[in-house]
Amino acid sequence: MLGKLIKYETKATARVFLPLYSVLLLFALINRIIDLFRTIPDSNKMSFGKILSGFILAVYIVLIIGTAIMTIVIMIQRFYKNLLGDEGYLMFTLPVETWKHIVSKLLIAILWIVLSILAALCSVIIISGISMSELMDDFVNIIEIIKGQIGTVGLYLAPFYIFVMTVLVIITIYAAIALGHLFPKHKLVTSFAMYAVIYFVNQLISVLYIMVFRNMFFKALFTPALISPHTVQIIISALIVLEALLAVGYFVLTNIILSKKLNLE
Amino acid sequence: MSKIVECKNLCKSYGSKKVLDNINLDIPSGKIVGLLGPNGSGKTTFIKLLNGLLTPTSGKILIDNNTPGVETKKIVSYLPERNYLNDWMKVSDLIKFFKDFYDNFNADKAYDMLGKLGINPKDSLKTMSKGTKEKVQLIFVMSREAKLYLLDEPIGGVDPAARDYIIDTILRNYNEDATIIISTHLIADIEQILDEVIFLKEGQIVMAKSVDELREESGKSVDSLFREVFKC
Repeated sequence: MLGKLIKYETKATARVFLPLYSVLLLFALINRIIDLFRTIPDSNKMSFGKILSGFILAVYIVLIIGTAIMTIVIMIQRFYKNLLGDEGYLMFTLPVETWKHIVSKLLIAILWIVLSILAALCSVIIISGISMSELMDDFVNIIEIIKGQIGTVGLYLAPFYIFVMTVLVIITIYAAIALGHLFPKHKLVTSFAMYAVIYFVNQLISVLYIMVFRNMFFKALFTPALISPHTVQIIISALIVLEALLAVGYFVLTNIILSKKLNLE
Repeated sequence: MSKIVECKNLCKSYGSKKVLDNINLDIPSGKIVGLLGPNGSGKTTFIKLLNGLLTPTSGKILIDNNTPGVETKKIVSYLPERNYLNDWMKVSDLIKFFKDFYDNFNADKAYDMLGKLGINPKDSLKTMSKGTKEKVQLIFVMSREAKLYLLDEPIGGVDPAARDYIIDTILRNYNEDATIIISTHLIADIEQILDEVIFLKEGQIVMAKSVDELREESGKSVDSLFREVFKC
Protein backbone atom coordinates (compact mmCIF):
# COMPACT_ATOMS: atom_id res chain seq x y z
CA MET A 1 0.00 0.00 0.00
CA LEU A 2 2.89 2.38 0.72
CA GLY A 3 4.08 1.93 -2.86
CA LYS A 4 0.64 2.81 -4.20
CA LEU A 5 0.42 5.90 -2.01
CA ILE A 6 3.84 7.00 -3.25
CA LYS A 7 2.74 6.43 -6.84
CA TYR A 8 -0.34 8.65 -6.48
CA GLU A 9 1.56 11.27 -4.48
CA THR A 10 4.12 11.45 -7.29
CA LYS A 11 1.37 11.81 -9.90
CA ALA A 12 -0.39 14.52 -7.93
CA THR A 13 2.77 16.61 -7.57
CA ALA A 14 4.57 15.88 -10.85
CA ARG A 15 1.85 17.69 -12.79
CA VAL A 16 3.02 20.90 -11.10
CA PHE A 17 6.78 20.41 -10.94
CA LEU A 18 7.62 18.91 -14.32
CA PRO A 19 6.10 21.82 -16.30
CA LEU A 20 7.75 24.25 -13.87
CA TYR A 21 11.21 22.70 -14.36
CA SER A 22 10.69 22.61 -18.14
CA VAL A 23 9.87 26.32 -18.27
CA LEU A 24 12.80 27.12 -15.97
CA LEU A 25 15.29 25.24 -18.14
CA LEU A 26 13.73 26.68 -21.28
CA PHE A 27 14.25 30.25 -20.06
CA ALA A 28 17.81 29.43 -19.01
CA LEU A 29 18.40 28.20 -22.54
CA ILE A 30 16.85 31.32 -24.08
CA ASN A 31 19.10 33.46 -21.86
CA ARG A 32 22.11 31.52 -23.07
CA ILE A 33 21.15 31.86 -26.72
CA ILE A 34 20.52 35.60 -26.42
CA ASP A 35 23.90 35.90 -24.74
CA LEU A 36 25.60 34.09 -27.63
CA PHE A 37 23.98 36.27 -30.28
CA ARG A 38 24.39 39.59 -28.55
CA THR A 39 26.11 41.70 -31.19
CA ILE A 40 27.36 44.79 -29.34
CA PRO A 41 27.97 43.67 -25.77
CA ASP A 42 29.43 46.94 -24.47
CA SER A 43 26.99 49.36 -26.03
CA ASN A 44 25.45 51.83 -23.63
CA LYS A 45 22.49 52.47 -25.87
CA MET A 46 19.15 51.01 -24.98
CA SER A 47 18.38 48.62 -27.77
CA PHE A 48 15.50 46.27 -28.32
CA GLY A 49 17.87 43.34 -27.86
CA LYS A 50 19.01 44.65 -24.51
CA ILE A 51 15.51 45.21 -23.24
CA LEU A 52 14.52 41.75 -24.42
CA SER A 53 17.48 40.06 -22.77
CA GLY A 54 16.82 42.03 -19.58
CA PHE A 55 13.23 40.90 -19.65
CA ILE A 56 14.15 37.26 -20.24
CA LEU A 57 16.65 37.42 -17.39
CA ALA A 58 14.00 38.89 -15.08
CA VAL A 59 11.59 36.10 -15.99
CA TYR A 60 14.31 33.57 -15.29
CA ILE A 61 14.99 35.05 -11.84
CA VAL A 62 11.28 35.03 -11.04
CA LEU A 63 11.18 31.38 -12.14
CA ILE A 64 14.08 30.42 -9.88
CA ILE A 65 12.45 32.10 -6.88
CA GLY A 66 9.09 30.67 -7.91
CA THR A 67 10.51 27.15 -8.00
CA ALA A 68 11.82 27.52 -4.46
CA ILE A 69 8.51 28.89 -3.19
CA MET A 70 6.45 26.27 -5.02
CA THR A 71 8.53 23.46 -3.54
CA ILE A 72 7.65 24.63 -0.04
CA VAL A 73 4.05 25.59 -0.80
CA ILE A 74 3.24 22.26 -2.48
CA MET A 75 4.87 20.37 0.41
CA ILE A 76 2.60 22.14 2.92
CA GLN A 77 -0.45 22.05 0.69
CA ARG A 78 -0.22 18.30 0.00
CA PHE A 79 -0.20 17.56 3.71
CA TYR A 80 -2.78 20.13 4.73
CA LYS A 81 -5.22 19.79 1.85
CA ASN A 82 -4.88 16.16 0.84
CA LEU A 83 -4.94 14.76 4.37
CA LEU A 84 -6.77 17.32 6.48
CA GLY A 85 -9.01 19.01 3.90
CA ASP A 86 -11.94 17.52 1.97
CA GLU A 87 -9.65 15.05 0.18
CA GLY A 88 -8.80 13.67 3.61
CA TYR A 89 -12.27 12.10 3.61
CA LEU A 90 -11.01 9.85 0.85
CA MET A 91 -7.43 9.36 2.08
CA PHE A 92 -8.42 8.45 5.64
CA THR A 93 -11.11 6.02 4.56
CA LEU A 94 -8.60 4.04 2.50
CA PRO A 95 -7.58 0.84 4.28
CA VAL A 96 -4.06 2.16 4.91
CA GLU A 97 -2.17 2.74 8.15
CA THR A 98 -1.73 6.42 8.98
CA TRP A 99 2.08 6.30 9.13
CA LYS A 100 2.15 5.25 5.48
CA HIS A 101 0.34 8.46 4.52
CA ILE A 102 2.96 10.49 6.38
CA VAL A 103 5.91 8.57 4.93
CA SER A 104 4.61 8.80 1.36
CA LYS A 105 4.15 12.57 1.67
CA LEU A 106 7.58 12.95 3.30
CA LEU A 107 9.49 10.92 0.70
CA ILE A 108 7.89 12.75 -2.21
CA ALA A 109 8.53 16.13 -0.57
CA ILE A 110 12.23 15.17 -0.32
CA LEU A 111 12.22 14.02 -3.94
CA TRP A 112 10.96 17.41 -5.17
CA ILE A 113 13.35 19.35 -2.96
CA VAL A 114 16.27 17.43 -4.48
CA LEU A 115 14.92 17.78 -8.02
CA SER A 116 14.19 21.52 -7.56
CA ILE A 117 17.78 22.09 -6.46
CA LEU A 118 19.09 20.03 -9.39
CA ALA A 119 16.85 21.92 -11.83
CA ALA A 120 18.08 25.25 -10.47
CA LEU A 121 21.72 24.10 -10.72
CA CYS A 122 21.19 22.87 -14.27
CA SER A 123 19.68 26.20 -15.27
CA VAL A 124 22.66 28.09 -13.83
CA ILE A 125 25.05 25.78 -15.68
CA ILE A 126 23.14 26.37 -18.91
CA ILE A 127 23.26 30.16 -18.51
CA SER A 128 26.93 30.25 -17.55
CA GLY A 129 27.77 28.27 -20.65
CA ILE A 130 30.45 26.38 -18.80
CA SER A 131 31.67 23.24 -20.56
CA MET A 132 31.23 19.80 -19.10
CA SER A 133 34.96 19.25 -18.55
CA GLU A 134 35.36 22.63 -16.80
CA LEU A 135 32.38 21.76 -14.67
CA MET A 136 33.84 18.42 -13.67
CA ASP A 137 37.18 20.05 -12.82
CA ASP A 138 35.46 22.66 -10.63
CA PHE A 139 33.40 19.97 -8.97
CA VAL A 140 36.48 17.89 -8.15
CA ASN A 141 38.24 21.03 -6.82
CA ILE A 142 35.36 21.94 -4.54
CA ILE A 143 35.17 18.38 -3.24
CA GLU A 144 38.92 18.47 -2.52
CA ILE A 145 38.61 21.75 -0.58
CA ILE A 146 35.72 20.39 1.50
CA LYS A 147 37.64 17.18 2.06
CA GLY A 148 40.58 19.20 3.40
CA GLN A 149 38.26 20.82 5.92
CA ILE A 150 36.21 17.88 7.09
CA GLY A 151 38.17 14.79 6.00
CA THR A 152 37.02 11.81 3.94
CA VAL A 153 34.67 10.55 6.63
CA GLY A 154 33.20 14.02 6.92
CA LEU A 155 32.66 14.08 3.18
CA TYR A 156 30.47 10.98 3.49
CA LEU A 157 28.74 12.32 6.59
CA ALA A 158 27.83 15.67 5.04
CA PRO A 159 25.15 14.45 2.58
CA PHE A 160 23.71 12.30 5.34
CA TYR A 161 23.57 15.35 7.60
CA ILE A 162 21.81 17.38 4.91
CA PHE A 163 19.32 14.55 4.41
CA VAL A 164 18.49 14.30 8.12
CA MET A 165 18.19 18.07 8.35
CA THR A 166 15.78 18.14 5.40
CA VAL A 167 13.67 15.39 6.95
CA LEU A 168 13.58 17.31 10.22
CA VAL A 169 12.47 20.54 8.52
CA ILE A 170 9.63 18.74 6.72
CA ILE A 171 8.47 16.66 9.65
CA THR A 172 8.51 19.76 11.87
CA ILE A 173 6.06 21.40 9.47
CA TYR A 174 3.87 18.26 9.45
CA ALA A 175 3.86 18.12 13.25
CA ALA A 176 2.93 21.82 13.44
CA ILE A 177 0.00 21.29 11.06
CA ALA A 178 -1.13 18.19 13.00
CA LEU A 179 -0.90 20.06 16.32
CA GLY A 180 -2.76 23.04 14.87
CA HIS A 181 -5.46 20.64 13.81
CA LEU A 182 -6.14 19.70 17.44
CA PHE A 183 -7.66 23.13 17.99
CA PRO A 184 -11.36 23.45 17.30
CA LYS A 185 -11.02 26.72 15.37
CA HIS A 186 -8.58 28.70 13.22
CA LYS A 187 -6.60 25.58 12.36
CA LEU A 188 -4.33 27.27 9.83
CA VAL A 189 -3.39 30.12 12.18
CA THR A 190 -2.78 27.73 15.07
CA SER A 191 -0.62 25.62 12.77
CA PHE A 192 1.67 28.60 12.20
CA ALA A 193 1.70 29.30 15.94
CA MET A 194 2.55 25.65 16.59
CA TYR A 195 5.40 25.91 14.11
CA ALA A 196 6.83 28.77 16.14
CA VAL A 197 6.45 26.71 19.31
CA ILE A 198 8.16 23.66 17.81
CA TYR A 199 10.90 25.85 16.36
CA PHE A 200 11.53 27.27 19.82
CA VAL A 201 11.52 23.78 21.35
CA ASN A 202 14.01 22.61 18.71
CA GLN A 203 16.33 25.51 19.54
CA LEU A 204 16.00 24.84 23.25
CA ILE A 205 16.78 21.15 22.87
CA SER A 206 19.73 21.98 20.61
CA VAL A 207 21.14 24.37 23.20
CA LEU A 208 20.74 21.79 25.97
CA TYR A 209 22.38 19.20 23.76
CA ILE A 210 25.30 21.48 23.04
CA MET A 211 25.64 22.27 26.74
CA VAL A 212 25.85 18.58 27.55
CA PHE A 213 28.62 18.12 24.99
CA ARG A 214 30.04 21.62 25.58
CA ASN A 215 33.68 20.63 25.73
CA MET A 216 33.64 19.34 22.23
CA PHE A 217 31.50 22.13 20.70
CA PHE A 218 33.17 25.07 22.43
CA LYS A 219 36.65 23.90 21.69
CA ALA A 220 35.71 23.98 18.06
CA LEU A 221 33.95 27.32 18.33
CA PHE A 222 36.65 29.35 20.04
CA THR A 223 39.65 27.95 18.25
CA PRO A 224 38.51 27.83 14.63
CA ALA A 225 42.05 27.67 13.32
CA LEU A 226 42.62 24.46 15.17
CA ILE A 227 39.52 22.59 14.01
CA SER A 228 40.73 19.25 12.80
CA PRO A 229 38.67 17.19 10.37
CA HIS A 230 38.24 14.77 13.22
CA THR A 231 36.49 17.40 15.41
CA VAL A 232 34.25 18.41 12.51
CA GLN A 233 33.29 14.78 11.98
CA ILE A 234 32.37 14.36 15.63
CA ILE A 235 30.29 17.53 15.58
CA ILE A 236 28.49 16.51 12.38
CA SER A 237 27.81 13.06 13.83
CA ALA A 238 26.50 14.58 17.05
CA LEU A 239 24.18 16.87 15.09
CA ILE A 240 22.98 13.98 12.92
CA VAL A 241 22.06 12.05 16.07
CA LEU A 242 20.28 15.06 17.59
CA GLU A 243 18.30 15.90 14.45
CA ALA A 244 17.43 12.27 13.78
CA LEU A 245 16.07 11.93 17.32
CA LEU A 246 14.02 15.11 16.93
CA ALA A 247 12.71 13.95 13.54
CA VAL A 248 11.66 10.58 14.96
CA GLY A 249 9.97 12.35 17.88
CA TYR A 250 7.94 14.65 15.61
CA PHE A 251 7.08 11.77 13.30
CA VAL A 252 5.69 9.75 16.21
CA LEU A 253 3.80 12.82 17.45
CA THR A 254 2.27 13.46 14.01
CA ASN A 255 1.32 9.81 13.67
CA ILE A 256 -0.36 9.68 17.08
CA ILE A 257 -2.37 12.83 16.38
CA LEU A 258 -3.50 11.68 12.93
CA SER A 259 -4.37 8.14 14.01
CA LYS A 260 -5.73 8.64 17.53
CA LYS A 261 -6.94 12.23 17.57
CA LEU A 262 -8.13 12.74 14.01
CA ASN A 263 -11.06 15.15 13.72
CA LEU A 264 -11.99 16.12 10.17
CA GLU A 265 -14.67 18.69 10.66
CA MET B 1 -28.83 -12.05 13.83
CA SER B 2 -25.26 -10.79 13.64
CA LYS B 3 -24.45 -7.19 14.38
CA ILE B 4 -22.45 -5.08 11.97
CA VAL B 5 -22.36 -1.93 14.12
CA GLU B 6 -22.22 -1.71 17.90
CA CYS B 7 -22.05 1.55 19.86
CA LYS B 8 -21.60 1.74 23.59
CA ASN B 9 -22.05 5.00 25.51
CA LEU B 10 -20.79 6.89 22.48
CA CYS B 11 -20.29 10.61 23.06
CA LYS B 12 -18.83 13.28 20.82
CA SER B 13 -18.30 16.93 21.68
CA TYR B 14 -16.83 19.78 19.69
CA GLY B 15 -15.29 21.92 22.37
CA SER B 16 -18.01 22.33 24.97
CA LYS B 17 -20.80 21.53 22.51
CA LYS B 18 -22.19 17.99 22.83
CA VAL B 19 -23.06 16.67 19.40
CA LEU B 20 -23.69 13.03 20.28
CA ASP B 21 -24.82 12.19 23.78
CA ASN B 22 -24.52 8.65 25.09
CA ILE B 23 -25.51 6.65 22.03
CA ASN B 24 -26.14 2.95 22.64
CA LEU B 25 -27.03 1.16 19.47
CA ASP B 26 -26.77 -2.17 17.66
CA ILE B 27 -27.32 -2.31 13.93
CA PRO B 28 -27.86 -5.76 12.44
CA SER B 29 -26.40 -7.12 9.19
CA GLY B 30 -28.47 -7.23 6.06
CA LYS B 31 -30.69 -4.20 6.68
CA ILE B 32 -31.35 -0.85 5.07
CA VAL B 33 -31.33 1.64 7.90
CA GLY B 34 -32.55 5.22 7.73
CA LEU B 35 -30.61 7.59 9.97
CA LEU B 36 -33.15 10.36 10.28
CA GLY B 37 -33.12 13.67 12.02
CA PRO B 38 -33.24 17.40 11.39
CA ASN B 39 -30.18 19.43 10.48
CA GLY B 40 -27.64 19.49 13.29
CA SER B 41 -28.99 16.40 15.03
CA GLY B 42 -25.65 14.56 14.76
CA LYS B 43 -26.20 12.35 11.69
CA THR B 44 -23.03 13.34 9.89
CA THR B 45 -21.01 13.23 13.09
CA PHE B 46 -22.24 9.68 13.75
CA ILE B 47 -21.31 8.52 10.26
CA LYS B 48 -17.89 10.17 10.46
CA LEU B 49 -17.23 8.43 13.78
CA LEU B 50 -18.03 5.09 12.13
CA ASN B 51 -15.48 5.94 9.43
CA GLY B 52 -12.76 6.92 11.86
CA LEU B 53 -12.69 10.47 10.47
CA LEU B 54 -13.61 11.67 13.93
CA THR B 55 -12.43 10.30 17.25
CA PRO B 56 -15.07 9.64 19.95
CA THR B 57 -14.86 11.87 23.03
CA SER B 58 -15.85 8.82 25.06
CA GLY B 59 -17.48 5.45 24.51
CA LYS B 60 -16.85 2.78 21.95
CA ILE B 61 -17.67 1.84 18.37
CA LEU B 62 -17.31 -1.64 16.92
CA ILE B 63 -17.79 -2.43 13.26
CA ASP B 64 -17.83 -6.16 12.60
CA ASN B 65 -16.18 -6.48 16.03
CA ASN B 66 -13.31 -4.10 15.23
CA THR B 67 -12.80 -0.51 16.28
CA PRO B 68 -12.59 1.80 13.23
CA GLY B 69 -9.23 1.21 11.56
CA VAL B 70 -7.61 -0.48 8.58
CA GLU B 71 -9.73 -3.64 8.97
CA THR B 72 -13.05 -1.81 9.12
CA LYS B 73 -12.11 0.51 6.25
CA LYS B 74 -11.78 -2.55 4.02
CA ILE B 75 -15.44 -3.43 4.53
CA VAL B 76 -17.00 0.03 4.83
CA SER B 77 -17.96 2.00 1.74
CA TYR B 78 -18.58 5.65 2.53
CA LEU B 79 -20.31 8.41 0.63
CA PRO B 80 -19.52 11.71 2.36
CA GLU B 81 -21.80 14.71 2.23
CA ARG B 82 -19.13 16.66 0.36
CA ASN B 83 -17.02 16.27 -2.73
CA TYR B 84 -13.94 14.33 -1.64
CA LEU B 85 -12.49 13.52 -5.04
CA ASN B 86 -9.74 15.72 -6.40
CA ASP B 87 -10.60 17.77 -9.44
CA TRP B 88 -7.65 17.09 -11.67
CA MET B 89 -8.07 13.34 -12.14
CA LYS B 90 -10.13 11.81 -14.90
CA VAL B 91 -12.95 9.48 -13.91
CA SER B 92 -10.99 6.56 -15.37
CA ASP B 93 -7.94 7.52 -13.24
CA LEU B 94 -10.13 7.57 -10.15
CA ILE B 95 -11.45 4.11 -11.02
CA LYS B 96 -7.85 2.88 -11.12
CA PHE B 97 -7.24 4.59 -7.78
CA PHE B 98 -10.21 2.84 -6.16
CA LYS B 99 -9.22 -0.48 -7.71
CA ASP B 100 -5.68 -0.06 -6.38
CA PHE B 101 -6.75 0.52 -2.80
CA TYR B 102 -9.94 -1.50 -2.42
CA ASP B 103 -9.85 -5.22 -3.15
CA ASN B 104 -13.64 -5.29 -3.28
CA PHE B 105 -13.99 -2.57 -5.92
CA ASN B 106 -15.68 -3.79 -9.08
CA ALA B 107 -14.45 -1.61 -11.97
CA ASP B 108 -16.76 -3.24 -14.55
CA LYS B 109 -19.74 -2.32 -12.45
CA ALA B 110 -18.53 1.27 -12.20
CA TYR B 111 -18.02 1.57 -15.97
CA ASP B 112 -21.43 0.04 -16.55
CA MET B 113 -23.18 2.56 -14.30
CA LEU B 114 -21.22 5.48 -15.77
CA GLY B 115 -22.36 4.38 -19.22
CA LYS B 116 -25.97 4.24 -18.14
CA LEU B 117 -25.80 7.77 -16.75
CA GLY B 118 -24.01 9.04 -19.85
CA ILE B 119 -20.85 10.07 -17.97
CA ASN B 120 -17.69 9.88 -20.06
CA PRO B 121 -14.87 8.13 -18.12
CA LYS B 122 -12.35 10.30 -19.99
CA ASP B 123 -13.77 13.49 -18.50
CA SER B 124 -12.03 15.05 -15.54
CA LEU B 125 -14.08 16.06 -12.52
CA LYS B 126 -13.20 19.71 -13.08
CA THR B 127 -15.56 19.89 -16.05
CA MET B 128 -18.53 18.34 -14.27
CA SER B 129 -21.51 19.92 -12.56
CA LYS B 130 -22.02 19.44 -8.83
CA GLY B 131 -24.84 16.95 -9.42
CA THR B 132 -22.74 14.89 -11.85
CA LYS B 133 -19.86 14.78 -9.36
CA GLU B 134 -22.26 13.46 -6.74
CA LYS B 135 -23.41 10.77 -9.15
CA VAL B 136 -19.79 9.77 -9.85
CA GLN B 137 -19.10 9.49 -6.12
CA LEU B 138 -22.18 7.37 -5.56
CA ILE B 139 -21.22 5.09 -8.44
CA PHE B 140 -17.77 4.55 -6.90
CA VAL B 141 -19.22 3.88 -3.47
CA MET B 142 -21.81 1.43 -4.75
CA SER B 143 -19.28 -0.34 -7.00
CA ARG B 144 -17.61 -1.74 -3.93
CA GLU B 145 -18.77 -5.05 -2.59
CA ALA B 146 -18.75 -3.88 1.01
CA LYS B 147 -20.37 -5.16 4.17
CA LEU B 148 -21.45 -1.74 5.35
CA TYR B 149 -22.42 1.23 3.21
CA LEU B 150 -22.57 4.61 4.90
CA LEU B 151 -24.39 7.07 2.70
CA ASP B 152 -24.53 10.61 4.03
CA GLU B 153 -27.27 12.57 2.26
CA PRO B 154 -26.97 10.63 -1.00
CA ILE B 155 -29.95 12.34 -2.62
CA GLY B 156 -29.64 15.84 -1.18
CA GLY B 157 -28.14 17.62 -4.15
CA VAL B 158 -29.66 15.93 -7.18
CA ASP B 159 -32.87 16.38 -9.12
CA PRO B 160 -35.87 14.07 -8.46
CA ALA B 161 -35.32 12.03 -11.63
CA ALA B 162 -31.73 11.30 -10.66
CA ARG B 163 -32.95 10.65 -7.14
CA ASP B 164 -35.01 7.68 -8.37
CA TYR B 165 -32.06 6.36 -10.32
CA ILE B 166 -29.80 6.69 -7.27
CA ILE B 167 -32.21 4.85 -4.98
CA ASP B 168 -32.59 2.22 -7.65
CA THR B 169 -28.78 2.01 -7.97
CA ILE B 170 -28.40 1.57 -4.23
CA LEU B 171 -30.98 -1.22 -4.18
CA ARG B 172 -29.57 -3.07 -7.15
CA ASN B 173 -25.96 -2.93 -6.05
CA TYR B 174 -25.76 -4.37 -2.64
CA ASN B 175 -25.88 -7.95 -1.55
CA GLU B 176 -28.32 -9.13 1.04
CA ASP B 177 -25.79 -9.63 3.82
CA ALA B 178 -24.68 -6.03 3.63
CA THR B 179 -26.12 -3.19 5.66
CA ILE B 180 -26.81 0.25 4.28
CA ILE B 181 -27.11 3.24 6.56
CA ILE B 182 -28.64 6.23 4.78
CA SER B 183 -28.70 9.58 6.49
CA THR B 184 -31.23 12.06 5.16
CA HIS B 185 -34.01 14.42 5.99
CA LEU B 186 -35.79 13.68 2.71
CA ILE B 187 -37.69 10.80 4.22
CA ALA B 188 -40.59 10.46 1.81
CA ASP B 189 -38.19 9.66 -1.03
CA ILE B 190 -36.57 6.69 0.67
CA GLU B 191 -39.27 5.52 3.06
CA GLN B 192 -40.34 2.59 0.90
CA ILE B 193 -36.88 1.00 0.92
CA LEU B 194 -36.10 1.23 4.63
CA ASP B 195 -36.12 -1.78 6.97
CA GLU B 196 -35.18 0.12 10.10
CA VAL B 197 -35.15 3.70 11.23
CA ILE B 198 -33.10 5.60 13.78
CA PHE B 199 -34.44 8.99 14.84
CA LEU B 200 -31.75 11.34 16.10
CA LYS B 201 -32.61 14.52 17.96
CA GLU B 202 -30.02 16.85 19.46
CA GLY B 203 -27.48 14.07 19.64
CA GLN B 204 -29.69 11.50 21.27
CA ILE B 205 -31.59 8.55 19.88
CA VAL B 206 -35.28 9.22 20.11
CA MET B 207 -36.27 5.94 18.51
CA ALA B 208 -34.61 2.93 16.85
CA LYS B 209 -37.04 0.39 15.42
CA SER B 210 -37.97 -1.63 12.41
CA VAL B 211 -40.29 0.17 10.02
CA ASP B 212 -42.91 -2.58 10.29
CA GLU B 213 -43.02 -2.29 14.05
CA LEU B 214 -43.21 1.45 13.85
CA ARG B 215 -46.11 1.41 11.41
CA GLU B 216 -47.97 -1.18 13.46
CA GLU B 217 -47.56 0.69 16.72
CA SER B 218 -48.26 4.18 15.55
CA GLY B 219 -50.36 3.51 12.48
CA LYS B 220 -48.41 6.20 10.68
CA SER B 221 -45.86 6.42 7.93
CA VAL B 222 -42.25 7.17 8.84
CA ASP B 223 -42.56 10.54 7.16
CA SER B 224 -45.60 11.67 9.17
CA LEU B 225 -44.16 10.28 12.39
CA PHE B 226 -40.95 12.20 11.72
CA ARG B 227 -42.90 15.41 11.26
CA GLU B 228 -44.64 14.72 14.56
CA VAL B 229 -41.50 13.91 16.55
CA PHE B 230 -39.51 16.82 15.19
CA LYS B 231 -42.30 19.37 15.11
CA CYS B 232 -40.87 22.81 15.55
